[in-house]
Amino acid sequence: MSNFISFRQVLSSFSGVLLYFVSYFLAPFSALHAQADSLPIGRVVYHHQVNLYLQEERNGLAVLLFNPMRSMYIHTAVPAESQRTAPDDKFVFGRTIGGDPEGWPVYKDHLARKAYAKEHGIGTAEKFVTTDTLGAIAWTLHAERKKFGAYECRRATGVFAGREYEVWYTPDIPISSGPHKLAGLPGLILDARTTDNKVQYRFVALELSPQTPGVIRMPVGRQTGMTYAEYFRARVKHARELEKMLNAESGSTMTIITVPHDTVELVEIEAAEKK
Amino acid sequence: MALLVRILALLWCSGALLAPAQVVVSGTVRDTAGVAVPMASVVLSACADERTLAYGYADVEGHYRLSFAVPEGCDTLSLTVRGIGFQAQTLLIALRDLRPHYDIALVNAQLQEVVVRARYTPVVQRGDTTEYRLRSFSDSTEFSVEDLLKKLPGFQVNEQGMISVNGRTVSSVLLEGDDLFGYNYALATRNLRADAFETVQVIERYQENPLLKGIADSERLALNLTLREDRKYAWSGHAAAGLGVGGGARAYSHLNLFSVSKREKIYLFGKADNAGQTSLHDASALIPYDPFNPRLHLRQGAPQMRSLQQEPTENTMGMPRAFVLQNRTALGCYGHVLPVGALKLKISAWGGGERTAQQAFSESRFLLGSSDLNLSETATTQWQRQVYHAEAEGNYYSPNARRSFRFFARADHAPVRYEQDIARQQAGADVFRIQADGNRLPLDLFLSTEYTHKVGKNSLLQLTGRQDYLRHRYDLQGEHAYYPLFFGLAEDFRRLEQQAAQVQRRTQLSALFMAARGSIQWQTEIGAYWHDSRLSSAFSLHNTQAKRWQPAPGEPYAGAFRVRVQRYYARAEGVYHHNRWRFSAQLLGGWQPIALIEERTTPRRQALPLLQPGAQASYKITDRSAFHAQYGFQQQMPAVASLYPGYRFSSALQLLNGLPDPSWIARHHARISYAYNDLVRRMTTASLSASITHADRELGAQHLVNPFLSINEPFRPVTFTSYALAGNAGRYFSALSSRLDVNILYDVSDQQMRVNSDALRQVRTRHWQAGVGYGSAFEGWVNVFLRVNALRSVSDNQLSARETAAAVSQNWLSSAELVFKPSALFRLKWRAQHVAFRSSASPYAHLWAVNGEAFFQLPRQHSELRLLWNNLLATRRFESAFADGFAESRSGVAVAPRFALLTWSFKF
Repeated sequence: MSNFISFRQVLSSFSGVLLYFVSYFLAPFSALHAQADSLPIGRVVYHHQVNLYLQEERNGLAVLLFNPMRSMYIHTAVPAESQRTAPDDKFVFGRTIGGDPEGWPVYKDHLARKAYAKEHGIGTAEKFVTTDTLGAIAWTLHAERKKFGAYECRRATGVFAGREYEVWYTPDIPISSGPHKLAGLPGLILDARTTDNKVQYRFVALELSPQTPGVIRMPVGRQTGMTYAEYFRARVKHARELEKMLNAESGSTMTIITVPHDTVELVEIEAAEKK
Repeated sequence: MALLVRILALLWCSGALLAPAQVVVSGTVRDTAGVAVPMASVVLSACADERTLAYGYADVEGHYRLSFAVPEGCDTLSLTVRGIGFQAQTLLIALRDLRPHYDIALVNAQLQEVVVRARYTPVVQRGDTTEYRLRSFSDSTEFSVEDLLKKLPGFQVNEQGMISVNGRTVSSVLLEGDDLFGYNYALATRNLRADAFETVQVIERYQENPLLKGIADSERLALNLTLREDRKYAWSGHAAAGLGVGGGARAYSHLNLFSVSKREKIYLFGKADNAGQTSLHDASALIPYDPFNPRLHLRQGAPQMRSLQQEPTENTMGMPRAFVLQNRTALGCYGHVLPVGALKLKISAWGGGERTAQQAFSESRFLLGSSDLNLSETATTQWQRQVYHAEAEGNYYSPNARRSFRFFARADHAPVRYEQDIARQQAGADVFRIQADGNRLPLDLFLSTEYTHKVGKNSLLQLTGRQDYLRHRYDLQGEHAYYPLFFGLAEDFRRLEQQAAQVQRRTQLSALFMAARGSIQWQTEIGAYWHDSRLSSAFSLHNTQAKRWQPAPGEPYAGAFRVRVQRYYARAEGVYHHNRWRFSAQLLGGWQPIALIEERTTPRRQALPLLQPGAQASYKITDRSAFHAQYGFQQQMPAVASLYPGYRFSSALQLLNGLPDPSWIARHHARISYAYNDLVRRMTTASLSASITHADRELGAQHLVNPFLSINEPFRPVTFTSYALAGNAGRYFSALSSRLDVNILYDVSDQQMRVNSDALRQVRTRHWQAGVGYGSAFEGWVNVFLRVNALRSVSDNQLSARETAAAVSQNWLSSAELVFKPSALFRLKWRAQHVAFRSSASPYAHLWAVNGEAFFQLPRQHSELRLLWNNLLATRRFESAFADGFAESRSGVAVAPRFALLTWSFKF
């Protein structure tokens, strides 16, 4: 016998009808409850500085909106739309600075330990969203303390995506998040940098307020289900295939598509693929 | 067997006892109503040092689980639970009472609103570009971009407006990515309003032609000014007008007008005033000649393109122009960037006129050997200048980015007229009055073209052509009681008139091949250069009856002279990168036939071989510091003629001493330097360099000095050597909101000269300079900046085998700048300058000069009122000591009368 109760069976009793109408009116409240998880209770402003070839377009101020359940890291320095720059000493036709109205966000679900990051599409103008699991960083906690305003922060080091990070986190703000995909400490990360200084998220400001503006939500784009590493390899593969196609069409070997491999998250690829 | 089992069990137990015990603690976190608190943090720490043993977060049902190793030497643990919107709770747990399960009830607490701000570092680095947010360094009293650039860490600006960053000279200042001014960039930095700009970008390895990127390195440094977003409307800008009193009526006007869109950009700016705020010198070319980088750029002509006339120039002594000059100046500039089909065209033009006047004086002791000569001079000089300049640059890049065509054309006409009234007196003797009038009418035309073709992915061919034409006319007149004595004429022949004309044509063609492969880049160039110059000069003396005397043919100081030079050359250059090293070497070789033709003698023809090697090495110690070493060898033709005004006579070298020796000046340069730049993290820059220059067969100076006149003529060959050590460092302390900069300079030069005889005199000149500046940085209600510079100069003159005489001068220059900002609407700025100076063992003399400015903001009217008080202390003169070569001097200028100027400026 099935344990499944059909809709007709529910409506056949008064309590079922009552339950139906009550749940009909309560549903919006449940949506509101879900919406509260999207409202930030604070934000951290970082100075996002990446000193890597072709990775500087997002440099500038970045904001982390957070609440206990979710957080979102937004690159506020990028334009809303992609822009062509004027020809300059590096690029004869100028170059395209990838714009995104959401600021190439990285959305983190703390409970589910997932990070969703928006990236350029591969072979399409549509943007992709990658999915990574948080909690893979084996942090080493150190004894040093440093004050950021009224908050005493502690130092931690750990390796994320092939780079060694030094971060300062404050246990007084019990949020398991930080800039980009850094997370997993018993407090909010206010300042982070790699030990070679190629990637830096320097603390600028912290605001805690229930009235913090903004909404924390899943980035808009194609949910690929790929991790960032899978996405990067797919991107490199696409570039090589496009190269072959263009060179075949032109009958030359002049076209080379550069996919920078020294990125914020290092991904192992074949040496031959590195161009 | 049983025994073995017992032994094994004993070992196992002892091992278990030795290994750290792993303990698990779990529980739930709920609020006082029993509702789970998901994502509450749970941290277990040990002892008083709060070592974190384990941490985690509660799940959606409030459950947590911690696993940790029992710490040694500690008997108390603390379990701290925190949740947003709850009071933190800490449980102290004695280790012996440790339980496996702890349920925590958190008490609600209102989320406290908190704002914490760090000092935002106003410097961002993106690859080769360092970007400074200008507002972070402004105290809102800066007028021009130059005023603000001086406050940026690592920036220095000299009196002429040349900018250097961390010891490296800036060759171009771009506006929104466009170069409209070339080497005349002081026109922009001194006349564009500082508050119109958002950032300044320092671009390392600036490459004019982007096709060369990746194939050829560039050592050029450029600045790019970016406008604030609210300035990028259809039309926006500033306008200002002002009136004042003091030393006559004062007037001032200024205009900045921009129209910047993605397609087209128009800039229009200008100033006019008689309050010392504008100068035609802003339009002067600041040519940063780099002996290590002989490669010419599109806007650059070959060196030695210069006027022959050595006219008197204004001496500002480091003071604001309003202090030391009377002026009436008007200057306007227009720039336009627009695409014309596939061509990007940049047009700029500027023009202006100026009348200035200055009173200057000097007292000098000349070390002449047998006895010193003490002379004093006062000179009142009036200048009338005009400048007319137009230039156009076009850039075309093919759609496939394989070809480019670029051209640059420039026309200049900058007539100068001056009148000088000089009183010259030897101590205890009569005063000689000398009057000198000079007039120069120049016309300069320049055209360069460049075609680049990318023949491969990493190789290209470049063809360039340059052509310039220069025509200058000089009229010089002087009146001096000594002329008749000098020429052996009746004493009423006191008036001298001289006319000279200079015409110069130069053409250069070259073909350049560049390639890069892996870590190696190389270039080869072949070219040809033709130069044809003519100089003619004639003079006559006149008496009061309009009678005229002319020198007989063959007499010195008159004649016609022609130089024809050809150069056929080849150049090769290679660059190799290896890990943190960069090596480069270059060699220029060629053949240079020269013909010197003078109407009275047989032409002299000679062909000179040309060989100029150079090498550089750099090592990047860290991402923030680097070491450089350079060596270059140059062969240069000496300048063959100069014209001196009025009572100093006019001479052409060949006319006094026969045709010049057309051999090379052989010059060696070597330099090592260390540079540190950590602007982003520590706001610190530092550089230290040591250099040496040695020249053989150089031009030396032959001086004739007597109570009546001074003659300065070149002769050769002499040997010249100089050594220099220079360093500067700067740091911004964000915690103290202050900045510190220090600079040092020590240089020694050994040169030969002749003074009143044919005997060679060896002169060693040493300069020491040290300076420190400290003051507040960034915005604050009060900003103070203090700077002290100490300079000492000593020239040791080898008068004979046993006799040496020294000319010594010492100066202490101090300045203080104080800005009060009691409110956002009002600012007050004081600037005081002090100089303490002396020559030899004389006591120090002290002088002060003070300026004041008040700024009133009128935000509703988008306006600002500015009241300027110039020379508050009614200082009459400003002096300093000076020692150079064989003379020790105190020189100074009369300070302009005190005045006040009220200006209203409007932003739109």
